[in-house]
Amino acid sequence: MKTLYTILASILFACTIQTAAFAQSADVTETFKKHFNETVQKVQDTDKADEKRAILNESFNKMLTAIDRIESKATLTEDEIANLNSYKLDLTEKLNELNGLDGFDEIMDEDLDDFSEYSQDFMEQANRTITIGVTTALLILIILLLL
Amino acid sequence: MKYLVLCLTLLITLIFTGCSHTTELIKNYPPPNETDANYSVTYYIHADADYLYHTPDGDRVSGNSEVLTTAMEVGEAAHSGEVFIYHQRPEKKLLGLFPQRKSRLFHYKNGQLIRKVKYRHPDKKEVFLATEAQLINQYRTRNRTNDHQNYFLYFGHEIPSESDKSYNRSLPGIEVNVVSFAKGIQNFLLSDRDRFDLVVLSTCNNGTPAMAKLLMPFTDVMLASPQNLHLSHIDSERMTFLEMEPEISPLQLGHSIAEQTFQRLERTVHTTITLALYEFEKVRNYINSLASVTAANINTDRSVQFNDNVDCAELFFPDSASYRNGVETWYKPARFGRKSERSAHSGWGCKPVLEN
Repeated sequence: MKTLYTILASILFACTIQTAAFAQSADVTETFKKHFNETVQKVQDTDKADEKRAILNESFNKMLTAIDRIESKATLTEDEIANLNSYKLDLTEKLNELNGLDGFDEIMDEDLDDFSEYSQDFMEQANRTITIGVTTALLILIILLLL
Repeated sequence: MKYLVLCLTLLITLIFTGCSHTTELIKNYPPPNETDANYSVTYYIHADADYLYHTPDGDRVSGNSEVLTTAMEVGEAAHSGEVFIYHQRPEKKLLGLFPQRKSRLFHYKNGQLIRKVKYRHPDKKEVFLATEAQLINQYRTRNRTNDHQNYFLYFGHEIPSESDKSYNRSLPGIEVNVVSFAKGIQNFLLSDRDRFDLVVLSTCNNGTPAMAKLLMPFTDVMLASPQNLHLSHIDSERMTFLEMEPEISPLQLGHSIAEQTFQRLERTVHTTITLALYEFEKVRNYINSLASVTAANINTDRSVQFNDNVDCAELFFPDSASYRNGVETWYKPARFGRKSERSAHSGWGCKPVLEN
């Protein structure tokens, strides 16, 4: 009986380790995509341009803040840093375009729905995935930031 | 005591079932009305990464599942051909110890699913596509017609110019880059004299001089995207034209696939759409010159590989039509962004030159 308990405990321990190891590699882009899809739905659900604009601004800023958190708290490789920087630049460009900064004309009210879909399309391209090593705690923090 | 024996038996069973890296789930050959294969189509559908996207209705699609569905339809329609579909999924271990065979090979012959194989990669640092090439060489039919044609379709993220360990989320030891890809798919050919009539790269940023030069020795036509491509991928339903229009040339088929894809993307996405069809018989005349010109100013900063491509013509040959012969393009600029006013594309993608 004692041997059976030992074997079962070992199996349970192996499961726990495996689960923890899997959680060490978080897919940041998937988290962002899910978040931004919700943003697009919210933008399309309201008729007011100033609300649409506020929703988009908040969403871009949340993702940028989340990337800043990752960069400051996670141990990243050179490639991961470069990948995140590229993603951050792209998000900043979208934010600037939304608000008419850095040489852009501000997005017109009637184009905000299309701009939100354009931004989502941009994230859902086949050029990159950002899978980085973060702790489960940091992943939870990122998800909470995006709520 | 009997519990101990039971647990040990279970453990030994798990160990032995995990040893082999393949398992055949369906074995149904030869098909009832087997004929020689007029053509072979190989789909490689990469799913060991994030492929989540949302349809225009907001529905989620992940793991390149829609591509798999279409590929199976092509397989079922291939009454005079042979279709291999690889769905390469993340590898996992049961209880953290026993490797599972999560990837799938679907083998169709004369429109029938004759074999479904579960597989994994036994060597986590193997050459890219080695296991898949081994499987096709094990299972493919040797009975081919004299004018047999070969088609290869790859669906995944951008194949980088330098190895990226995050390409395969669960297999970081496999080096994935344009060179290993070209060598890898060459192993799918029956012999050194065999060639691909058409290679379709449903990835971002791989319509490049470098990729063309690598595939040219064993490929006649390539369809690829010089810049970004949406994760809904290139449509492949037109592969059924191999049955409906047996006389169709690889170039015509590639054109039809590009046309269908462009029309769909034009309706559904707001980002830049670029597709290019390369006829290598013509491109061959200048590819060395083009590759040399576009390689001259390559930025050695590794971070540039995470940037999207730009039109090579912007950087290297703005007024020249020299490098457009044999290249047919489909282009629509993005609805927004800095380049929303552009109206044309050379068909060749290059990494941007970063400012220091």
